[in-house]
Amino acid sequence: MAPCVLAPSSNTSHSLSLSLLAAVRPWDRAQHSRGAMSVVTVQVGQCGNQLGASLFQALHDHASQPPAHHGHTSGTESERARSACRQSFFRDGGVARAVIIDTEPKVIQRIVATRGRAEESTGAGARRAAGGRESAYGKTAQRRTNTTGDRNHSTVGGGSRGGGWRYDSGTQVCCHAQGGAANNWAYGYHAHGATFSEACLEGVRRETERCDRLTGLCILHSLAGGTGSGLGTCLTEALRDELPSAFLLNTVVGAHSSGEVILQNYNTLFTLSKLAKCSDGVLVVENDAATAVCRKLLRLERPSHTDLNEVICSSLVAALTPTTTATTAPAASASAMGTGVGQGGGGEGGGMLLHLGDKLAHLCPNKDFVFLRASIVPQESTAFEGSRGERIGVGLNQSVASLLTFHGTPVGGSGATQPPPPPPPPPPECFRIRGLYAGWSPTPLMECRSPLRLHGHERAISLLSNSQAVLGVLETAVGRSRDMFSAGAYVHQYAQFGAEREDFEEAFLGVEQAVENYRSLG
Amino acid sequence: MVREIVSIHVGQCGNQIGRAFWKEALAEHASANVDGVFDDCMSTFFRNVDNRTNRNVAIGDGRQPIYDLKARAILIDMETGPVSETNRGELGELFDERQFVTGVSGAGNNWAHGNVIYGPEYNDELLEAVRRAAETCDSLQSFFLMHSLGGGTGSGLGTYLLTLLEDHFPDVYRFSTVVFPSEDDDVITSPYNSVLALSELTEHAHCVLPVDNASLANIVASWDSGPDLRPVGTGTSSGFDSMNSLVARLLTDLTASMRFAGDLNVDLNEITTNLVPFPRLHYLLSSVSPLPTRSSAEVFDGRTIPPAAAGFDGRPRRMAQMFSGAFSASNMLMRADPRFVAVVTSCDCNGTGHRLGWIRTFVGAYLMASHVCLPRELCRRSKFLACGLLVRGEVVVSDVNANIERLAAELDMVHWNPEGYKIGLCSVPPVGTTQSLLCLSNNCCIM
Repeated sequence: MAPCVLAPSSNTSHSLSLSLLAAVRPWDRAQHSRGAMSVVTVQVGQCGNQLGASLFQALHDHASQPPAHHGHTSGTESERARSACRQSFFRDGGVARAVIIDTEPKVIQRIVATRGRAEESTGAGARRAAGGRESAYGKTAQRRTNTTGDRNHSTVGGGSRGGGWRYDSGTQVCCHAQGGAANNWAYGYHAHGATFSEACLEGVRRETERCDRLTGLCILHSLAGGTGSGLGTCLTEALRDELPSAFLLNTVVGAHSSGEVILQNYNTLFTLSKLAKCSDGVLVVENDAATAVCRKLLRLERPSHTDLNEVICSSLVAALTPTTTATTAPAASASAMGTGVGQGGGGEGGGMLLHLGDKLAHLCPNKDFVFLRASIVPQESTAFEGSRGERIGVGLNQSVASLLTFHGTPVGGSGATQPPPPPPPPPPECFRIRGLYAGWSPTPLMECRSPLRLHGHERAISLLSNSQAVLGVLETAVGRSRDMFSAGAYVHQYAQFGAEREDFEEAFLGVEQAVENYRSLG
Repeated sequence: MVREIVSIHVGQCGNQIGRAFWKEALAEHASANVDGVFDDCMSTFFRNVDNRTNRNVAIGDGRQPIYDLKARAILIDMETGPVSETNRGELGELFDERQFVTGVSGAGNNWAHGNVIYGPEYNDELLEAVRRAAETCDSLQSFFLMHSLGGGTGSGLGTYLLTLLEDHFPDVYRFSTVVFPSEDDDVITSPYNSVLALSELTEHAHCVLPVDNASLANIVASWDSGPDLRPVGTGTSSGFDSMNSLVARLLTDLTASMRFAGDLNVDLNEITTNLVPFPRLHYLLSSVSPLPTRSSAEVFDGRTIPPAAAGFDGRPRRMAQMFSGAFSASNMLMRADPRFVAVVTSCDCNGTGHRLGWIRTFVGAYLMASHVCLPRELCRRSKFLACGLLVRGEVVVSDVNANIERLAAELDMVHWNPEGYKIGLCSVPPVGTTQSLLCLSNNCCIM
C-alpha cells in the first residue's frame, strides 16, 4: 500500500528511488511505537473546500518529498517528520482525513471528481485538466530551475505533484437546501445550522473515529461567504460541545478588501465574535496578503484563486504539520529570555514532536487572545539573513506568544556524511526582545525545527504568532460594519433569518472587546 | 440536487422575450454540453421527460441521455396569438399543453382588466400550472417573471401572479424582468399601467431587472444597418428579435454562475442578499459588456462551435475595456447613466434623460436613500448602493480586483458601502465569446 504513494517519478535518479523504498520501513515502525496524533480537517463552503483541496495536495507533497541530497539532517529524523505529517493528515495509504461540507454540490463534485478516484497515474496531468492552469509554485519553481539550474527545486514542479492521495467519498456532507446560504451569515448559522449540524457532526464523528489519537480539528472556511462563515461557526460551536477536549483550530480566509461579497464585513463580524468564544485558535489568512505574495514574490501578473490557495497553503503547511522542539543551546536562548523547550524530550533525533494541539496550547494560553497569524520567509542563500528575519518580524508588533520554526536543512556544511547535525541558526535578535511580548506570558517564544523542506525552499522560517498583527482585520470589520449598520442597510436580510439588532450589538461588543484586548498588549 | 428556476412568461412581450430566452438557453447548453447528456446544469432550466412513459427522468449521476427536453416554463396570455405562435414555432416541442394558460379576448391594454378581472378568474388555473411546474423541481429556487409594464396582460396579470406566488411560495425568490415602455409608445394607457404595476413590483418582488425598449433599440442599432423599429405591439420584426435576445442574454448571464462551475459561484439568492440593502430598493440596472454582436442563437447553429467572435484574449487592455464598458451608458439595458454628473435639484431627476413622471412611486424611496448618503444638492453623481459584477470566461479574481480598483475613483459608492462590489466568476463563457461581464447595479440613476 505504502510504496505506491511514495513511488518516485520516472526521471528521478536511481539512488533516490532506492532511498525512498528503504524509507518506507522506518515509517511503519514509527507508526507502532509512537502513534502519531491525527488532525481531522473540516472543509466548509466553497472557499473552505477549494482551500482544503490545495492544502492536502501541499501536505502530500510535503510528506512525500525526497530526502535532501546534502545536509546534516539524519535520515531517521526526516523520516520521522515525514511519517508524522503523513499520519496526521492521511489514513489508509493516502486518504485525506477530511470532512467535506457544502450547501451546494458543484464544488464538492469538482474536487471529489479530481480527487475521489483511487489512484491517478499522472497527477500533474489531472491537475492541469481540472484547474486548466499550472500551479503558482510549479511555475516559479520551474522558472527558478531554469535560471539557477538547481536540481533540488525541480522536485516541486515535477512528478511528485498530484496523485497519491484522495478524498474518501464517504465523508462528504452535502447539505441540499432550496439555496445556498446566500452570503448571509444568519442564513448559514440559524437556518442551515439548525437543519444540518447533526448531519455534519455525524460526518465528523465518522472521521474522528478512524483516528487512533486525535489531537484536534482544523476547520477551514471563509469569513465572507454565507455557508462557510455561518455553518462553519455553528459547526464549531457544536464540535466544542461534542469534543470538549479536542483542540479546534479555525482557519478563516478574509476576503479581498476591495470587495468580493458586499456583506463580507457583517459576516466577518459575526463569525469572529462567535469563534472568539468557542474556538481554541483562529488562524486568520487573507486573500489580499496572498495576492501580494503572488504579485511581488512569485511575479504572477494575474494570480487566480488556485494560486492564492497555494500561497496560503504554504504557510498553513508550516503551521499545521508536526515540528520538533529545538533542544539545542538552551542556555544561550534562556539567558536572553525564557525560551520554551519541549518538556518531553522523547525521540531519537532531538526534541519532542510538537503536534497541532501542543502548538495551540502554547500559542493561545489565554481565552481572550485567540487570533493567530502565520507567515513564512524562505531563505535562499546559505548565510542567515538577518534582514529577512526582521521582515518577518515587522508585522509582529506586540504578541502573546509566537512559534518560530526552521524548516529544511540546517545551515552549514554540505556533506551528507557528517553525522552530527549542527544546531539550528539562532533566531534573529528581533524575536528575542522581551518587550515584544506580553508581560504575563512566561515563555512566549518557542523555537522549533522541521527537517523537511517547505514548498521546495531549501530553508525557510515560519512564524505563527498570536499578536497585534490581527488588529487590522478586526478593526476593518468593525468599522465598516458600524457604517453600514448605522445606515440600517441589509439589516432586514439578517433579521429575516433570526439575527436581530441585539445580535448585531452583541457581535460588535465581542469583536470590539477582542480589539481592546490586543490593543492593551502594547 | 441543483436549484431549478421556473420561468413565467406573461403577455405578448413576455412571450416574445421567452422565445429568445429559450433559444439562447438551448444554444448555451448545446455548446457547453458536448456529450448530449442531461447534466446538473441543464436541469436548472429543463426537465428530461421520457416520452414513452411521460415521466420525468431523474438526473442521477448526470450522465443520463436526453430523451425529450421540456422547459420549466409557464406561458400565459389572455389572447391565444403569442402562445400559439411559440407552440407552432421551432421551440414548440419544448412545451406541452399543460404549460399554457390562455384566455381569448385580451386585457385591452388595461392593467385593471388584467389584474382585477382576469386575476381572480384565472386564479386556480394559474396556480395549478405553477404547482405542476414546481412539483417537478427538487429544490425550486426562483421564479423568473417576464412581462411588459405598458400593456394590460403583462403588467396586470403579471403583477397579480406575483402576489399569488408570494402567498403560495413565500420562500421562492421572485425575479421580475420588466420591459418599460418607450417614450413614443403607442399605448395611451401605458403610464397608468406602469405606475400601477410598479407599485405592485415594489411591494411583492424580490428583485426587478428593468429594461427599456429605447436602450435595447439603440444597442441593436449599433449592430447593423439599423433595425426595423416598428411601434411596440406590431412586432415580430427582426429588430424585436435582436432586442429580445439581449434580454435573454441578461438572464442567461445572470444564471450562468449558478448553473456552471466557477471559482466564485454566485447563487441567485446571493444576488438579492448582496444587492438589495433595503427591501423596497430592489431595482437593478443591468449592463452587458462587451456588447454581443449577434445573438448566440445565430452564432451557434447547432452544428459547430464557432471561434471566438469578439476576439477577446484576456489581454489587460481588452479586459479594461470590458470593465469600463460595463459602466458606460451605451451598454445599459435601461436608459440611465450611472456615471452621469447631474445636479439633482428637484424630485424629478432631470439629469438622467427624459425620465417620465410616473416612476414617482419609487423615486421617493430612492431619494430617501440618497438622503442617507448626502444632502441632495451635493449629490452630483448618481450613487451606487451596491454593484454586482458577474464575469464569465477565463478571468481570474485578480483581474476583477485590479479593474475595480481602477474604476473605483469614477464610481460614486454610498458612503456606508465603499466596497460594495459582489464578484462572481464562472468559467463557461457565453456562446461565441471568450469573456463577458454582466454588471448589475443598484443605482440612484434608475430614477
